[in-house]
Amino acid sequence: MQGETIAAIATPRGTGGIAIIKISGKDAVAVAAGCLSPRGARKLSRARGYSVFFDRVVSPVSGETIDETIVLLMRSPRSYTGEDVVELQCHGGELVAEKVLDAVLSRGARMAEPGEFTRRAFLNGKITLDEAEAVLDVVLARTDRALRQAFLRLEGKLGKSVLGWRDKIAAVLAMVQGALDFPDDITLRDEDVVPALEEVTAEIDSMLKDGVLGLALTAGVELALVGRPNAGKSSLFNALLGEDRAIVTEVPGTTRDLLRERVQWAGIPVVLVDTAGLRETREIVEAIGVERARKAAEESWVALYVVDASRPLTGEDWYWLERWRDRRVVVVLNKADIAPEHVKRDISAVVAVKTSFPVVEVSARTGWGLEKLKETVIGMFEGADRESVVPGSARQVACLRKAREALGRALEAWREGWTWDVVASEMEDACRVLDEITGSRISEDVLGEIFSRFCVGK
Amino acid sequence: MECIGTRIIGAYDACVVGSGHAACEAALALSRLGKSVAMVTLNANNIAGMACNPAIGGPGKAQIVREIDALGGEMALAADEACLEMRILNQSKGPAVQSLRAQCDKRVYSGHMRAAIMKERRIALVEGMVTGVLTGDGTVEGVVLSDGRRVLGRAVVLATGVYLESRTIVGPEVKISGPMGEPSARGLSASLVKLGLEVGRFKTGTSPRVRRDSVVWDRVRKEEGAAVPLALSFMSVPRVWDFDACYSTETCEATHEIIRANVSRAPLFNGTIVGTGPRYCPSIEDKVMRFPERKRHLVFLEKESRDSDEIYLLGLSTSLPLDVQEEMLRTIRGLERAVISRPGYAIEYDYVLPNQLKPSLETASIPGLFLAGQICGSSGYEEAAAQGLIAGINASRYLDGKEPLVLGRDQAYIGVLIDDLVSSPITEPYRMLTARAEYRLLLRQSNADLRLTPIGREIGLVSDERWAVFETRRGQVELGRKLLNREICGRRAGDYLRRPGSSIEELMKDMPELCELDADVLEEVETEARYAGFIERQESEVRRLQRWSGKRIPPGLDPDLVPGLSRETKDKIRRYRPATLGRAADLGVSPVDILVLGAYLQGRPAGGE
Repeated sequence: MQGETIAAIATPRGTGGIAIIKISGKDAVAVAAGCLSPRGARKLSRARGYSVFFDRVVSPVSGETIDETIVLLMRSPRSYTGEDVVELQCHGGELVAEKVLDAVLSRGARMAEPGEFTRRAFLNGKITLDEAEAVLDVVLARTDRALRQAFLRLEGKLGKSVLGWRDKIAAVLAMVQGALDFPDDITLRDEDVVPALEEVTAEIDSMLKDGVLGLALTAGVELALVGRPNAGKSSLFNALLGEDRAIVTEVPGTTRDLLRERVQWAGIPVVLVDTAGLRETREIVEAIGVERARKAAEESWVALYVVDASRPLTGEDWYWLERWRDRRVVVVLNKADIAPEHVKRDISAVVAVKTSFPVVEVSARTGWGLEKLKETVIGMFEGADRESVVPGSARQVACLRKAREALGRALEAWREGWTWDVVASEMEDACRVLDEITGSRISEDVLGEIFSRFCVGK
Repeated sequence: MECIGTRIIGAYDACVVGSGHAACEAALALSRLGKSVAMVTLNANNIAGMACNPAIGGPGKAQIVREIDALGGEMALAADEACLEMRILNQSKGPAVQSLRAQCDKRVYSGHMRAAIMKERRIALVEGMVTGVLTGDGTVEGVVLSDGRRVLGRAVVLATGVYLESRTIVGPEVKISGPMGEPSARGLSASLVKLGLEVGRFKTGTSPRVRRDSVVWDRVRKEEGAAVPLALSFMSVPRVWDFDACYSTETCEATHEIIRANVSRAPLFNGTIVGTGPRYCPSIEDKVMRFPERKRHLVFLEKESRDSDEIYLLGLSTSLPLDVQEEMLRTIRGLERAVISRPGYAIEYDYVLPNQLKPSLETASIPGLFLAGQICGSSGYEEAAAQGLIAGINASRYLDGKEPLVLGRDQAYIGVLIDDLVSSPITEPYRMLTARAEYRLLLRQSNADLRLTPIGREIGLVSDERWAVFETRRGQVELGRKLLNREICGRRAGDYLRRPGSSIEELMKDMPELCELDADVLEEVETEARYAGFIERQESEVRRLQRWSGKRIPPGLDPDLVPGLSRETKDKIRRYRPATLGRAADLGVSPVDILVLGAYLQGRPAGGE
């Protein structure tokens, strides 16, 4: 199917080696030809399949040459979108690219909406839902590292893992289902079912653990700055941002609501979240702020627990550190430049004894130690980043999580002594959800499996 | 009645063609709903015959039998009367898959059905071979017989089983014949093609029968039936069935050697048989060739009748030449001296591709023409009877100008059966399996009456007597539910049952009222309470999926109007007319096309269907 002709600058705005103007749709060739030299226009119109040649982009209004270009033609259906596609590769530079795009638009193309090329590719059956999501992630990804993750997915590793699990579950389900439908022929033994389910469960668990980071890589890793009032969270927030974003005063409880800002550390998009100081309060607005701070800490990928290094830790500090003992936390000793050495030492020592959290000394005021803090956090990313297959999109993560839950319920039902009809139903649930990722249907597979593996029936 | 001039031998409300399990239920339903019926059959002495093994029920099938019964059909009553031995299958695997299976006396079964039909004044039995369906203005008007006679009926139910252009195969011997030496039905298939229906070819088979006195009975194992009172029909008094009807033995390496040595003479392997056979009903040569590692295969010896001389050898379905069949038996313990009374055979037959049917079982292109049973590509007595019942009910409703009865997949196995038949590609004779029912936990054999008897009553098939029995049971079940809703020690009583290993007996101490309920009612409310959590989640999961998969595709949708669909998908939509996006996905429509279709349907104005 060829839709109306759309065009857009396909390369990121701003400086770069080249700028690509992409045109797709039923009139793509005619539109592009209208922007080329007469010789180029003829060449393009006659070209059959893939072709590449050098030409000039000419202003349809003035007839002046705008830029030199490499013309790349991909005829339907052998293109990314499945439609006729022409790419005009020009010299980088925002102004030139805009001018070329203007020329193309004046020849009858319409400005593409974000993601519209991918949507057309998907609608024309060029890519699957899974791949479309990965491509959209590429398009929307903010940084190189996120791009690399997205490419990993594009190659279908995720699909392969999911298909692998699905096959495993189908095989086990065939055994159970076969025994339910052909009780004379198939005897059901726990050892044929349970270990396989446990194995798949463990594999999904390990991918889900990575998934948190995969998700973070496209959306940004949330880093919450929390701690008691006046520990200097907002100062640290500003220091890490490199600008005065949060209001900083001497008055405890100045920050009432969450503040979010996006930064980039080592190629990873990071969302810094400044929060209200954690303390008991009767004031209703502040109480809401405290509650939001707690939630932000618990929903973030890592919490920076900021303390005033010039004072010993309080019971309230310990309350929170205890509460978050199983989460990723970095204890940040702020005001380290003015704090007495022995107080800092005492805090570090007691944190080391009671928790496994790393401790970093910084000064938000002077900027001292900030690099160390970033390195510590980046190190935590690296630890989690195994370059393995990472299910990135929220939908996929949600499906995996559901499949994991259903398998968990199947195993739990078995352990609790529920009958096989219930266990089988939970397994079917898991399959249904995995099928939502791959888009195929498992039920026929299971029947096929029964008949090919077991000698059933009279 | 016979009218020589036009050779019209009678005008009825409906004609039912056939006298097997589907035809019997269809004719009975029509007659009980007040319609006059001509039942046209090749052999009026062969009513509700069991051409294969003499058993009714089993996983997925017992549920269907109970559903037929709950709607007011006859099958369960016949099976109970004819029962020799009853078993509970899957007893330990949970109430959802627990299934009764009755081994029946074929003669008694057939006799019961014959008597039921004779009792109906409105049914006329006509012997003859139907060779064509009469239509006028594209609507059904009756059938024509091979001798030129015509039977008029404004609705026609074809339930011709495996007889259409059938041929039987035993080794090199290929005969134009129906099962068990009956004649083949010739011509009708071609008449259907002329009416625009597409037919396909399937194959099935059966086992050799041996003479009872030629079996060495002390060399085979006795298979015990259940020692508790059981019944298939909600109307039968449960009994202990103790006729020793079933024994077992097994094949051995020597048997398999004989098969391997003669595989070139096996019609299944040398190209004689072209029809597709069912995977779940493999012949012994199939089993041996496909599973070479198996050292033995079970063989059940089933008595076909109290007073018949024939023994059915379940598990030995074959179309090998007779001399190979005989040689095989020599190697099987207890059958060394067995005398074959009828050889096993394969049978090939025409069926009508069921995607040409509406969910009412009426053909989409010819108003008034209904199909039921193996002609629709199904297999099994129970599957056939269920379709016969629904086709009979809907033929009657068609005559009355009423909306057809269509059962949902969440309402009955019958709903699953018909939905699968009419809206998914059938590549082998279709047999019901519990695996096919996504609402399995809901569709228990034990609650078929609670699910369907009110529907049967509304349709008019449930007699006052059955309704009275049902209302008593339903009253008790409702009382039981109410009791389990009460609190004991601060908790809802029913919640205690959600723990596995708990039992309703424990509750009886604190709730003496429970003791007044019948055992079957106690079991039912206990199951409901115990499974409530799972059923709720299953329902909500299926509902969630149905948000998109349940999205209806209007029946008249022209796929060409949907931009961006692949040609393959368009073909599938035209061919199978999937009712929902989910069914389209079942047909193998790619996820992309599902999305395109979904997006298209989404864009249509509400109520625009």
